[in-house]
Amino acid sequence: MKQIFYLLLIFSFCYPLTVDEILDKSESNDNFMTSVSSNIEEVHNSDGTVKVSEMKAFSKNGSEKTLMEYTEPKRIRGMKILMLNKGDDIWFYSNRTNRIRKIASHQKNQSANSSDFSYDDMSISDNRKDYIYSLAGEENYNGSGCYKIEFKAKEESVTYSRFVIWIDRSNYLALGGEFFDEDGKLWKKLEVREIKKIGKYWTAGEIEMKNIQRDSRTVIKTKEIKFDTGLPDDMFTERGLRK
Amino acid sequence: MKNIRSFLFVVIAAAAFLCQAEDQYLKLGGYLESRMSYFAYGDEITTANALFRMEGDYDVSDKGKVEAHLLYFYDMQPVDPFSGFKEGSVYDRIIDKYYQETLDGISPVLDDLTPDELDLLNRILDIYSSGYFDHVSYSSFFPKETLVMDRAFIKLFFSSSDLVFGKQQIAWGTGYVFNPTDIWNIKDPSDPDGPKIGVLAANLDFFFGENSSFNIIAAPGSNFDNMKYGFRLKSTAGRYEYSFSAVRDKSDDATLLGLPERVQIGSDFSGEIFSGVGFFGEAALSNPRYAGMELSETDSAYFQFCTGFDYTFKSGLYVLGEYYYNGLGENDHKNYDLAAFTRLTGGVMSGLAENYISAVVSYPFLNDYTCTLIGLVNPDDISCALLPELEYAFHQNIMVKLNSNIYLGRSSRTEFGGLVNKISFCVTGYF
Repeated sequence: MKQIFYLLLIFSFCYPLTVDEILDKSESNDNFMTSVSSNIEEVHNSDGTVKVSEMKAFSKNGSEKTLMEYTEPKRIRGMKILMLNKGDDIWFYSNRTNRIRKIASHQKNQSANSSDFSYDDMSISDNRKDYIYSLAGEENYNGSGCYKIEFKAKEESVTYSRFVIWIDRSNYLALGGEFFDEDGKLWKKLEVREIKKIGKYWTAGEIEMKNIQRDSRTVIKTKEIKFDTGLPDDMFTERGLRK
Repeated sequence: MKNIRSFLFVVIAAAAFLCQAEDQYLKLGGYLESRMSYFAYGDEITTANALFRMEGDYDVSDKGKVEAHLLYFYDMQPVDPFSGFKEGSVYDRIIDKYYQETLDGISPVLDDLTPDELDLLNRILDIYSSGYFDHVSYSSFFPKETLVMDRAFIKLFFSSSDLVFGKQQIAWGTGYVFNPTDIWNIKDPSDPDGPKIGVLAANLDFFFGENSSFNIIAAPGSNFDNMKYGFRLKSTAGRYEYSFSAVRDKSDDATLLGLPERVQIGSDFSGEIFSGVGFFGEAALSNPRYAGMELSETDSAYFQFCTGFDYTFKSGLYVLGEYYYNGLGENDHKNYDLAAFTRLTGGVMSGLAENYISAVVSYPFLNDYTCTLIGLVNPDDISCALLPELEYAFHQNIMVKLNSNIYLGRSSRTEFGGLVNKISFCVTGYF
C-alpha cells in the first residue's frame, strides 16, 4: 500500500501540467489585491520619431478592475480609461467634454493612444473564452525554458486570427508572444523584460510590443509600482472617472 | 473696457505660465488655437482669429475640488458676421423680410407686421444689443473679442453623492451629432463641430450599485420662473446603458427669445448589436406652454429623437451614421422663418428641417495623420454640408488641421445651400 502511495506521489510530480493548469498558474501571478503604478509609454514610429506618454494605473482584485489616467502629454492629460470585468467592459472619459462613453467591442481592437497596443492588449480579457487553445510544446525563449501555448480564434470578430505565447516554466509569467492578423501574417511581437519579484508578486519592468507590419514599436516602462496599498471600490466606477 | 479685459487676461495667463507650483493637487493647462479661414463667395474674404483656453483645477482635499476654465477669443481679422450667408439664403431672406438698414442702424420693417411679429423683432434687436451672442464666443460665425468663463465650479464629494455647483458642462444623452435630451449645454448652431457651452447650475448626483446614478439639476435664472430643473436616472442592463429624464425648461435666454416654458421627458440608451457594432439613441417628448395655455394641454407637444451606429474596422477605418428626427422642424424650406431661426438659436432644436442624416468617416494613416469626412444631409430641402478634414500631429502637443466647409443645395434658399463655402487652416498648441 505504502509503495503505491509513493508511486502515485512520484507520478504526480512527473505528470505534465495541462494547458488549463498552466494558464491558471500564469493568471494567478495577478492575484494581488490592489496595485498602483506610474508608467511611461514610448511609441517608436517607423520614421524614427518617438512619442512619450505618461500614465498612472490603478488595479484591484488582480486587474479585474483597472483605471488608467494619462498625465502626459498635455494634449490628453486627464483622459481616463476604466476597464471592468478583466477588460470586457471599457469606458472612456474625456475631461474637456466631461463625457463618459462606453467603448463598444469594435473599438477594443483599435490602437490605444496611437500606440502598438490595442485596448484589448491593455486589458487582461479572458482569451480562453474567444480562442481555442492548446499546448504546442516546450521551448527556450530568450534563454528561459517555456511552455508554448497556441490560441486560434473561434470567430472572426476578435482582434487576432491566432497568437502564440511563451510562459516561463519557473514562475509562470508570460515572457513573449506573437500575434497574427486575419490573413495569418505575423502582425505583432510582444516581449516582457526586467522581471523581478516585488513583495509576493512577479512583475515586469518593461513590456515591448513590436508592430511588424507597421515597423513600429511601443515600450511601456514601469517607473514605480506598489501592491496591496488599498483602493476604494468607487474609484472603479463612472463616479471615479469624473473625480 | 476691452483693453482692461485684455490686460486682465494677459496677467492671468502670464501668472499661470509662471506658476511653477503645479503639484499633485494643482493642475494648470490649456491650449492656444489659431485659425485662418477663407470664404469663397463674391468678395473673397479671409478671416483670422485665435482662441486661448486656460484650464485649472485644484484638489482641496479628498472631499472636494475647484475647477475653472477661462476662454479668450481674439479676432485678428474681423469680418461681418453675415458674410457666411449667400444672397437669397434662408437667413438672408429672414433678415431682408423683417429688418431694414436706416441711418440709426438696423430696425424692423414696420409694414405688414402683426403686433406679435413686431414684438419678437424688437426683442431680438434687444438681444443683439444686450450681448446675448457673447454666449457663442467660440464661433467663427460671430467673431469678436470675448473673455468668457466657460467653467467655474466647486465639487464636493460625499459618501454616496457628489455636488457640483457653478458653471459646468453637463453631458446628457448618447448621440454623437445630436442630443435632443440635453437641454443644459446649448450648442452653437453655426458650429456643428464646436464645443458646447457651460451652464450655471447646481448638480447633485446620488450613486448606487456599480454604475447607477440619480442626477438632480437646477439651473437658476434671474428669477424663480426662469429656472431650469430636472432629474435623470441612469443604469445598466447587460451590455446596455440607459437613462430616463424629466425636465422643466425655462431660462432668461429663452424668455429673451420669446421661447415658451416646456416640460420634457426623455430617454437614451447605448450598447452594441451584431457582436460589436455600437448602437445608441435618445428620444425626447416636449410639451411647450404658450401664453394662455395650461401645462396640461398637449396640443403643441412635439417629439425629437436620434439613433445611430458606429463601427471601427480592423484597418482603423471608423464609420458613424446618425439619424435625427425633429418634430418642430419643417419639411418645406419655404416655411423656414424667424420663429424657426429663434428656436434653433435658443437650442430647442438642432436644425430647421424635420429630418437629418449625418455620417462620419475617419481614417488614421502614416502614424501622425487622420483624415475625416463629416456629412450632414437635410433630405427635406435636399441640401447638405460636407466637412472634410486632414489633421496632422506635428508634435505631441501641436496639432495642425486643414479643413473645409462645403455646402451643397439645389438653391440658396435651402438650409445649407445658402451658406458660403470656406476653407480653414488651424494650429492648436497644448500646454
